[in-house]
Amino acid sequence: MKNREPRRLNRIRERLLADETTRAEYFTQRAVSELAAIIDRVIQKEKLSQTALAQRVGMHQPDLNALLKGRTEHLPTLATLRRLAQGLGVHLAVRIDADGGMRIRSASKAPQAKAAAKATAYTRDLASR
Amino acid sequence: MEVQLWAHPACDAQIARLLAAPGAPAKAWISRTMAILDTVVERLEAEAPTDVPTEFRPRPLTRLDFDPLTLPWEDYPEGVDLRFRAMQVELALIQIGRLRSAIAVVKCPEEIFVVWLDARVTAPPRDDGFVDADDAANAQQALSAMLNRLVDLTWLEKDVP
Repeated sequence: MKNREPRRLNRIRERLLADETTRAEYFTQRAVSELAAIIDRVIQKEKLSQTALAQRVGMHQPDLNALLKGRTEHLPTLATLRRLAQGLGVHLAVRIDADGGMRIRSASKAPQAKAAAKATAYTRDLASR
Repeated sequence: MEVQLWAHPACDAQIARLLAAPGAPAKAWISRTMAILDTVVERLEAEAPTDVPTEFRPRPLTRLDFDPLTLPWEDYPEGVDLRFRAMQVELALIQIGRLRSAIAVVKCPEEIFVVWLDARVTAPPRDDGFVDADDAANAQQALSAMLNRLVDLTWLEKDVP
């Protein structure tokens, strides 16, 4: 197929992102979708039920379900994101740019969390000696 | 994997009309749909999951799978090419706020085309995304009708402003 039409969609995107309100809507939706995809990947990989994950991260199951199904229009609070990262065992990186751009990324392992756990175990070990 | 995101000219015109409407109430829904499509494209570029419509969030109201060989592609070089090169054609109907979109995903060995085929404002939807029982019953038929837009590749030659 000819690579001619994408310009049209780019024009729509540029127009939407030029408006501050729709720009905010765009990036919030992107972050919500990205977060939902991250959660879904872990659920699939670990064969977790939504109920089990909701319990693990201290969320109401209907809220988790709404997030996964894309029915929610708002990002969880930072406290919930923190619990999600811990419960999922992933490193969640929330990036908010000066121009309002916002993205959520993950790494499959949480090196910082692992390092923190190691440090805690080491401290405990020292204390028990 | 190369992923191209397109808007069908008819859909492009629909969106332009919605954005030009007084107050443009659909603007936020269009923006959110655009964000979802961009997320899907990025995910496909990175991972190319086998089951594309499940990548859409919210999950599609309905979806249809087609064998590319059986589709009445327009007799264009691109149509002939797609008939034999495409591995799978999937159509999905998604609802963001009151904006309902039909999206096509055409998977070829080296590239994937995501085409925004249709965008129209509906009455306020129920929790399941449908407007009412009739709407739910007619969804597959409505989506199936969008296939004509995809296979009519004459629009590739039109210079729509």
